[in-house]
Amino acid sequence: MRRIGYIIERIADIGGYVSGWLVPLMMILVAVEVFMRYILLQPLMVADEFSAYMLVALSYLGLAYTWKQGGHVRINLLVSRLPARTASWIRLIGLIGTFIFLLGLSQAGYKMIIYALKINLRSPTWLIVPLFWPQLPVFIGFILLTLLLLVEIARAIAKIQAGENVEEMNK
Amino acid sequence: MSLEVMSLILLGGLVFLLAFGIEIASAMGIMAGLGLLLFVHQPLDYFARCAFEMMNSFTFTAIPLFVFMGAIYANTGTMGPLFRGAEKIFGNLPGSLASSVIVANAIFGAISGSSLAATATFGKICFPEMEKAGYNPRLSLGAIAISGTLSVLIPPSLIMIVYGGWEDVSVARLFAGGIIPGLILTILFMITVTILVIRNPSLAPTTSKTTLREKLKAILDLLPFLGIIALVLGTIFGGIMTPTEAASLGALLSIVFALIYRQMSIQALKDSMWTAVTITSMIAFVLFTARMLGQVFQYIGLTEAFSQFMIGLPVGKYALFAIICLMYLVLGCFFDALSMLVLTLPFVAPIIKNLGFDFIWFGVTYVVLAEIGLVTPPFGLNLFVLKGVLPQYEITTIFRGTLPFLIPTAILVVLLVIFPDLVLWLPRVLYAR
Repeated sequence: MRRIGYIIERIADIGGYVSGWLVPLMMILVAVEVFMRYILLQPLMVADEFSAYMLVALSYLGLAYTWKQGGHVRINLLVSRLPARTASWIRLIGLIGTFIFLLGLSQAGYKMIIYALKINLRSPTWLIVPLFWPQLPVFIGFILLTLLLLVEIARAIAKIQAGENVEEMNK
Repeated sequence: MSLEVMSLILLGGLVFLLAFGIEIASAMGIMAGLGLLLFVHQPLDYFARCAFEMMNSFTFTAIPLFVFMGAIYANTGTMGPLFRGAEKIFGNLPGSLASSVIVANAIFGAISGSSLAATATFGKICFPEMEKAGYNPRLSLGAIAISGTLSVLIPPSLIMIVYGGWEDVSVARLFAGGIIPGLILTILFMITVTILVIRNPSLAPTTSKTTLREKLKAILDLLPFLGIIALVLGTIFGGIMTPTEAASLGALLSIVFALIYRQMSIQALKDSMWTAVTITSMIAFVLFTARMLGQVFQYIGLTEAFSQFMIGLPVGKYALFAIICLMYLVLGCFFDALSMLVLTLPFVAPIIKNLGFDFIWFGVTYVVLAEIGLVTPPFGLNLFVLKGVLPQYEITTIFRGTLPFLIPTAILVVLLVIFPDLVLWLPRVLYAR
């Protein structure tokens, strides 16, 4: 079980790693477009569309990594004042609620990409890109976060059983 | 089911989830999902499309690029010369180091759009120097925390990009609108430092005189920073480049700049990339869940009922705006600026439109109001960031330090209401053609 958790966390890291490298790649793509347009007067005409797809990919592939880093904002004012045991239970319930929501989201993501594949949905631009590809990272990102939440829930249960504070988990 | 019951379930549920520490994006998503299933009778399918469409935006591409640009400066330590340059120029003012932090932050604000990066960077660089010089910690902490908020007002600003993309308002015009209020606030903060030190000289040591030659040399040190700012903002305001293109150019130049200063390392590059990822992913999650929740509110008729109720109140236009400001000041104590913006916009935007306020003006005024939230407990993010950098100081000490600086911020809000042209004049002049 611990090994599965470790593997899922590493996959989340890989998602963050891929997302991270998309940033300089996006920067280069837009800079090249600027150079081609203003210096060589021959715009590529692809930077707008592809940089937006890269933004989609980096936003969602990095979702689980950001969660792992504690990057999603939360208000723990009330929880931090509760007794550790009560706070732990509340966190566990919160994680389960988020997990159920993410399950629904993953299913929605799956339906979206399957639909795009089935009807060969394409972008309404001159590139007519098959939308399955830019939509795929959304689905992968949701799945990664769902799996990470599963690991967090398992850890939270273990912590509660050991009498430890779940809120200390990501510190 | 009546609107009242549906609203109570959705809003009550949201407050409940937030109070119990669920991530803001998740809480909004859960309530949007419930609303969609129970009240709109639709499956969650649209959620995924909304997630894709929300971020499939060239405008929002500027977000990671501006974060990346600011993070490169923050992680490579190239901000040191900026602070020391400002220190030489303003060395003759009472509390000169505190004023220098404010000016350096204003300049950094024109490079980075994130107040958190600014607070962390200047907390690390400036506080030890101020402490060594004998500054009162409360003044130092207050100046660092409050001046970090200038980054969200002085363009480029992440909040303005999100607001522009969300409300379909020109981001370039918003950026232009933020310049004069940003400069006014910088000057007001410096005046506050001067008054504080004159009234209580024990807050700061006596300033040492700087010669004209030293000042001129300091201006030369600042020139590379000013050059990059001129290039990034100049190309945007000149209509030559979009904010995204300018962000890309600025990010590229920041790497070149760090290489010239021999401060660039692979680790700094990676850290900057991860910073861009965590902030962008957080924003994406908040944006699409807030959009879905907003749509559920709209579908059940809550947003319209709320705006009708507010407009129907027997108060004048400005009294109504004062209520909105008050609401933001209270919410700002609990929410971060971005979540507060996207959560309230479905309700507030129709009221602003109905009252005849300009959306550029409102966007900039919102940013000033949100700045107050960044330094007010219990959820002032800048306070927490500074506490993280300087753990020996309590949040309450940092907050007490920022307290006197809230007066100029409130004065600016009043000035913006009385003289809307402080925001609208520059966009009008720049985009007159």
